[in-house]
Amino acid sequence: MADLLEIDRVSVHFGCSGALARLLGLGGDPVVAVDDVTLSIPAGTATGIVGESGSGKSTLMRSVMGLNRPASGEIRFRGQPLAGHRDLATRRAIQMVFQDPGTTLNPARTVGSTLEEVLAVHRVVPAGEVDARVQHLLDLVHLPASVRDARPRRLSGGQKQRVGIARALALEPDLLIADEATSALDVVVQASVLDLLAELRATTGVTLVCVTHDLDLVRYVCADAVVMRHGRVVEQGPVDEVFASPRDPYTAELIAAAPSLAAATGRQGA
Amino acid sequence: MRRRPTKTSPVTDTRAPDTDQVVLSVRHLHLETEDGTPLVQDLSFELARGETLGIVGESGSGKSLSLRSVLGIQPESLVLTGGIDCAARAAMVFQEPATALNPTMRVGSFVAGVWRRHHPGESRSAARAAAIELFDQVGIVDPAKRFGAWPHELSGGMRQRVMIAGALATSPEVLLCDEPTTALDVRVQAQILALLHRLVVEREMAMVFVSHDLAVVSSVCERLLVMRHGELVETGPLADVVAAPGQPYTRDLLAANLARRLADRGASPASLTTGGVS
Repeated sequence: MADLLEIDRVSVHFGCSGALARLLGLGGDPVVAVDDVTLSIPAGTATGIVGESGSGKSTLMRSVMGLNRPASGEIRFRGQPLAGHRDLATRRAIQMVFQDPGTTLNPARTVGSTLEEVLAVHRVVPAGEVDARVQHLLDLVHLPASVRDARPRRLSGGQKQRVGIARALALEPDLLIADEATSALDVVVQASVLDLLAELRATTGVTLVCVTHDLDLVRYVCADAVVMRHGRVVEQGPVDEVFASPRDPYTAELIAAAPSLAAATGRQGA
Repeated sequence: MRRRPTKTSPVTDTRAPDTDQVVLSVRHLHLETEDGTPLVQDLSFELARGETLGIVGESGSGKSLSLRSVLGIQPESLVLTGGIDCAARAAMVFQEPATALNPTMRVGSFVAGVWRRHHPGESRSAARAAAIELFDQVGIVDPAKRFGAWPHELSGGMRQRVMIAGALATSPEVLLCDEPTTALDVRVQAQILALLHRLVVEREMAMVFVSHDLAVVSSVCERLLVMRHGELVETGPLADVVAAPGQPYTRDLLAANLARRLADRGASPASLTTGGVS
């Protein structure tokens, strides 16, 4: 049986291309953001995609979301190729939590109306049950009921990101992509949001992909790791194996560079 | 300056360093907005020659604001009371080198200009030579060639090295660092931290390093000061505080460190199953 998500020799290019650009003399070599990546993610797993800025990790996942179009290759979801124009059911099945909840939530809407809107557009529940479902979603992400009538600016960064997660989960997706979802948060808040993601994965069975530059985050939340560099996958495998015995020198370099509290204890008495 | 009475008994830095050696002394620093909202409350600490102090706290804890107050570059609208004695020359390295550098000035001219301002009467060619020497010291490869580069031609890590060279051009005795590696990738961050550590040792500079990341601070600092809601929570030798935090908030900060959680959890988490990405 096919895996939930199959990325088959996908490349994504940025820059001026096409006939018009050539005509205007704007053509040139496009930037290859994702370069011939093949990846397969089975249902129910938690995968971390790690890499530095410009490694193509976010671009690849935005292609899965349909936010940009690969130059070549094919992305299959539940065995079916994802088309350029997607039907509502497919869009509903793949959801993303973005990096900065401050800019991805509608500032004019209350939290309740943000959640009601997605429930209504996708007809997730009958109109009579929307109210109860909103309450259920807030409970799911451990937000108090009072948040429902608040606008995003009244919320803390952590609370806003919980709303972002609730909005994604409202559609009961099969695949949840968290794109640096906690990197804008303070460290204590980050830990609590990561615990929430791990908990939701266990309770809802959603397949989770975490895009991040933080190796510890991958080890903490994910069972599998994919390391990307310059648009290519340099290493992948179970988290423990990748971290205990990295095969690629770049992975080893990343692990060695991560700052560690151990430095404090190591220098003690020195 | 006027000392502001405080309602609560403040946590103060009880260490008594040799007063001859104190290069920076902050006493009862208080910052508030015009409408009276306190942003920093009764913050006191001292920094001895050659000492490295890390200030850690979440967003809004007042850590950057306190650091900026040392140079007097806090927002003008804020009301500051308390005493800041910085007898030594201090220079600052900022978080985002892309915005801190003048985009219309070649990086060499920037560093040479700063050097010349601090070495009045020196010639342009002496300033140029000094800037190239500083570029070399901060690990910029081929420094003479990089002298004429524009900021946009350099990577984030190289730009931050230029910023550090600019700070060094003032021959500082205290280097103030405001999240200097937050905008950088992890490998570049490690390089910049190693550079700062080397420079502090070689030049016997004192350093105040502000960050939200305890692990980053622990790789360059010997002393730690934890802030929250504008107040000092706890301070002491970093290794001691990490080994035995005295305050609930410090314990929360340490408990949030993922590497520590992973170590506590053991090598293989039982709740996660490997799906076998292929």
